[in-house]
Amino acid sequence: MNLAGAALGREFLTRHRWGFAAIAAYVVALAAWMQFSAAPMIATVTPGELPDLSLHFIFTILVPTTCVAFYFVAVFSFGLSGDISARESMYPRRLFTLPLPSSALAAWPMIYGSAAMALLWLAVFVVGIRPSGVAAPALWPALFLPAVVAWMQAITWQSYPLPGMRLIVAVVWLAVIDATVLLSLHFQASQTFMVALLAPQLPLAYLVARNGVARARRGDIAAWGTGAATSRPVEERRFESPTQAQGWYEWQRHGRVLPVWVAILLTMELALLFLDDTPTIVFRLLVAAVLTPPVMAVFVAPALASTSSDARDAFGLAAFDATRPMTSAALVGARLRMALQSTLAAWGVAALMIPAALLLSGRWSLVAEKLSETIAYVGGLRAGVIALLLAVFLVATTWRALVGSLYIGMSGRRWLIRGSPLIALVLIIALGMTADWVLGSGRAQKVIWEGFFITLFALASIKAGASIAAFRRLHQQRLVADQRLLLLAAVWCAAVLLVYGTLAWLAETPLIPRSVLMFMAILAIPLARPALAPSALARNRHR
Amino acid sequence: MATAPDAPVIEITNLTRRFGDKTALRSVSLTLPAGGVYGLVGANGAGKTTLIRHILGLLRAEEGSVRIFGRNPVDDPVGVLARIGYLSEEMDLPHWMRVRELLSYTRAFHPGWSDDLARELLETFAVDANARIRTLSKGQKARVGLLCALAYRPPLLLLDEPSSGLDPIVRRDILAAIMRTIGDEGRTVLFSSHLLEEVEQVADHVTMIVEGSIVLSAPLAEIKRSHANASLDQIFVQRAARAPATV
Repeated sequence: MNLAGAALGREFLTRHRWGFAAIAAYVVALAAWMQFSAAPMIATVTPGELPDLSLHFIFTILVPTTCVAFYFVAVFSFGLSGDISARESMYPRRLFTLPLPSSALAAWPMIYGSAAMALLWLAVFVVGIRPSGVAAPALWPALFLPAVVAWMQAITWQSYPLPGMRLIVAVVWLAVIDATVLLSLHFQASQTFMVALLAPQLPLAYLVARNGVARARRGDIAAWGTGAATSRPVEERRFESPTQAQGWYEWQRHGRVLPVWVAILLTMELALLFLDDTPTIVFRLLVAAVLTPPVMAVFVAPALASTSSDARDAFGLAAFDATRPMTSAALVGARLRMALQSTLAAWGVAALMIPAALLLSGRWSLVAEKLSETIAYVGGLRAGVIALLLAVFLVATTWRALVGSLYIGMSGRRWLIRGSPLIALVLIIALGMTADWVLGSGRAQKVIWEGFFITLFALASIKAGASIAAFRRLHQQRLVADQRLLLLAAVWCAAVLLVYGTLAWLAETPLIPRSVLMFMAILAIPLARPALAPSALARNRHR
Repeated sequence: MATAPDAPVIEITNLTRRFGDKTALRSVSLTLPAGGVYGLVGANGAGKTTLIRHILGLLRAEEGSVRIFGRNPVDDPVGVLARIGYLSEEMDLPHWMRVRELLSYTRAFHPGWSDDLARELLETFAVDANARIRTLSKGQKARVGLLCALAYRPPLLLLDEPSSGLDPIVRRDILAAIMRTIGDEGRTVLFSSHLLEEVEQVADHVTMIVEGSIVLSAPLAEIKRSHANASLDQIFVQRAARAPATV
């Protein structure tokens, strides 16, 4: 192998060794699991249709593989260390000074990215999919995944005339690739056709990537007009208070990430509505679309929780941020408010895109029919309250997912920050597999039902204990004034009572004890983890 | 909490700091009264930045105490940081911001911000207010950082290796800013540097730090007198050579 290629490869390997090690461990664990597990991978098979995959398959193979594929896209496009909304190329400038032609600078990361994706697919296919009995093609996905990473590299390494345009191009282009492949599948295209369709994608993406790298290396930045974008006068801002200024700062840094990702994902998901009018598929897609903001919030949360992208120590706090004349609690407060704004923006995107897709695809009538049936069954008022509660629950869950790990990122502890996404992924997989097992086992369901009360009681007690400890720490460290702590506790109690009252009104049945509803309300309203964030930031800020 | 008028701006007592096996500061004591320019000199890795980070409250005093304007910077970051103008060697300004946005953002934290002074400095430094920070050269970033540190006329200006790696014109701007700051009565400048001729040009008082210990702290004139008018360079070399014995 060429020395330059080896050097670039070593850089990827060194920088992301823990990520790659975790992926290798996953493949080994999957191989072992497939040897010993007897759980079915296909729930139902209908002749002439795609098999209905079991939760077991989804959580052991589909979810982890998708996460790894996203990780590879981020790693090999250098997307983990750049600003995706900027006009400039995201190709690292430090590599431009290497004595290598631009073609090599573009080619090597592309070769590594494509090879990693192809290897991922082949490994998962050999150790997971084939033994599961799910009939999946081996060859063309090994071209499709490299094509996706190659195009993402080409798109991220180009410069654009407008800020944010990269995201739009990425969304549109991925949607085109996605839709093309889905249409081919829908019309049962042959393996040869798929290979012929996907194989030219790699050289085409390479040409675009090479052009982007060469231009970025020369310092060319695409501009519409006569360079107005760089010298456009900026409106003078007047912030009323430090709080308002910090809110603006937080929004500029992290606020747009979630709405943008939700828009990207929804575009791909909702495109499927145009392909199939089977009610089951339409409602599954709708459920997936509605769950997109909270699920994406889980993945966006680590970026939102990071204390500084500018710090020399990527997990530390840049002096610029640490020397803001604000208390650590006020800095955390600004982050929490920004997370709420980001959540509302993401749901605003979803509230526009989902009805628009239903109307444009002609699937609205299916949903309207279901809604009418529901209203007729539960009554107009109750249906309205349920819908409102569901909306509030989804928004609150999204916000909660965004801020739940804030204390981890703010702590500045490298091992905790790096390890938490892996732990989250392992927990998701474990929960999915447990759910699959519980659904198939009457005995397990009985045990869970009998232990439901005590489990809820234990969880609520743990939360209450952790919250008291976090509040005590805030008081001892004088990070939040006592009056403010009392106010927060009062607001939390009021929110719990409100949720409890609503649940009690909705679930008016002797089958569910009121105490269970109270435990559920206690668990639903976040308290302990957000309360830990100021202490974590203070520790990071004053080391 | 009001600060007593005659309270020292900086009062550090027996401060010791360790990072693992390495002792970065050894029982450092330093008291700086209000007014004047204080130069903190030392070789790379001597502990200058560690000391400054304690003054800013970015490091917690593990042993000893740090009082800035009579307050503990860790317990009262707002009370201390609102009164310090700080420029670091790293110039870690948010790269995505435009200069004008940075000025608006910084102004929000400092009621004493002077738009006239900011405008004047912007013109003097010839920085495009619409430019993004990431497009600025290192020298321009230093000027923008200096502007943000000066425009609210802080009682304490803290400069950590401000001219490191900068061209002579930017260094001249920085020295001019220091001179201008001390023109306002009662304001204090503490700047660290290993460029001793710069320190000699502007400092009234010099503190020399070697391997985490203060080996010399006195008015510049007194230091020169006691060392037969030797240059600060020569004095530094002498002191650094005997450092282990001193420590």
